[in-house]
Amino acid sequence: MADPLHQFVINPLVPINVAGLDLSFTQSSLWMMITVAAAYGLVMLGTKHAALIPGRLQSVVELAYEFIAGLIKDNAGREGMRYFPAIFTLFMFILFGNMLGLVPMAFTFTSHIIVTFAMAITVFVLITALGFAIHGAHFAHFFVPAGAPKAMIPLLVPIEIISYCVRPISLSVRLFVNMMAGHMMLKVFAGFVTALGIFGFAPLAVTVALLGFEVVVAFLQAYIFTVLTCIYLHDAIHMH
Amino acid sequence: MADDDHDRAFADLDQRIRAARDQREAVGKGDGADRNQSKLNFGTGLTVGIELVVGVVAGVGLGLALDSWLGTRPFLTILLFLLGTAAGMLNAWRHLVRIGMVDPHGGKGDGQDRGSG
Repeated sequence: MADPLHQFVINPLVPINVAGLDLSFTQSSLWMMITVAAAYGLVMLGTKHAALIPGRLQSVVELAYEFIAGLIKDNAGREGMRYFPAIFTLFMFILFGNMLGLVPMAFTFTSHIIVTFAMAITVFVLITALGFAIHGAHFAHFFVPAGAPKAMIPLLVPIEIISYCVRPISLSVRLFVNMMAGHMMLKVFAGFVTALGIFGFAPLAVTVALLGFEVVVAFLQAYIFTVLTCIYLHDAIHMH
Repeated sequence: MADDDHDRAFADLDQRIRAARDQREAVGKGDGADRNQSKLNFGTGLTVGIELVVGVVAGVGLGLALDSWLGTRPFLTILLFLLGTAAGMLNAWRHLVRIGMVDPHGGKGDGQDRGSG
């Protein structure tokens, strides 16, 4: 039976080695470029002939815009709309990466923790910098819970700081675990199809159901990543 | 003639859009509760689990790293294990408050306020 972990192996397509650093163009890089091209192409094609009554493609783009705009207004407030381009890009990148990863023979780069962690740590560093830029040194008060007794503060501040600093870890682990587990499960059940011969229809049915489930997960995880980014943005802008 | 038709069609367009929006908002209230409900069932278990595990693992990892660097083994590991666990619980708790599953003001937390958060 096929090794369910084999699909996550990174294969260099164009080996590049600069001063001992492996900068190879891999199939992961290729799929990231395909993702960017697909997302960019959809938005550009959808807004090419901006009509009062939108066609199908324009409707999709407008739906995506309104979905993210609503998400930001609900979770980060109106001030958050300044950061709409970044959040919209993040959402489209993760969504398209997850969805394109479900195409047979495709590579899911969101199933690698280094990719999700790079996105999460970028969000974390930028939002923390934004918090200090808006509030100055006052942002440090974010780590002191309001209304806590003075004697508890030496205990509560480290807990608050740790709980703040693990945010990028939980953000990236959540996306990576969901994508990797889903793809492994698909592969395991797909492996049973050939192994069971004539009775392979049973795991085949499970695989079809799982694939539908994975489409939901792909959207949901992109949504959760974006919502949490908005919530962290809210914390940086409003400090509660 | 066609232009007249268009003008007439557009004359009450604003009104019609407003009526449709009001109607959708009225329906949307019910939808919102439903959406929160499904969010509660679907991602909650895994999300809260990950928050708890990440807190503990990050605390212990940081503690071990600091201990081997400062040579204070095992005190910082123990301390940061406890703090990390607390931080993980805090994150899990905040997530549950955010989705409206528990009342942050010391209510019974019996799910009475589900969907409000």
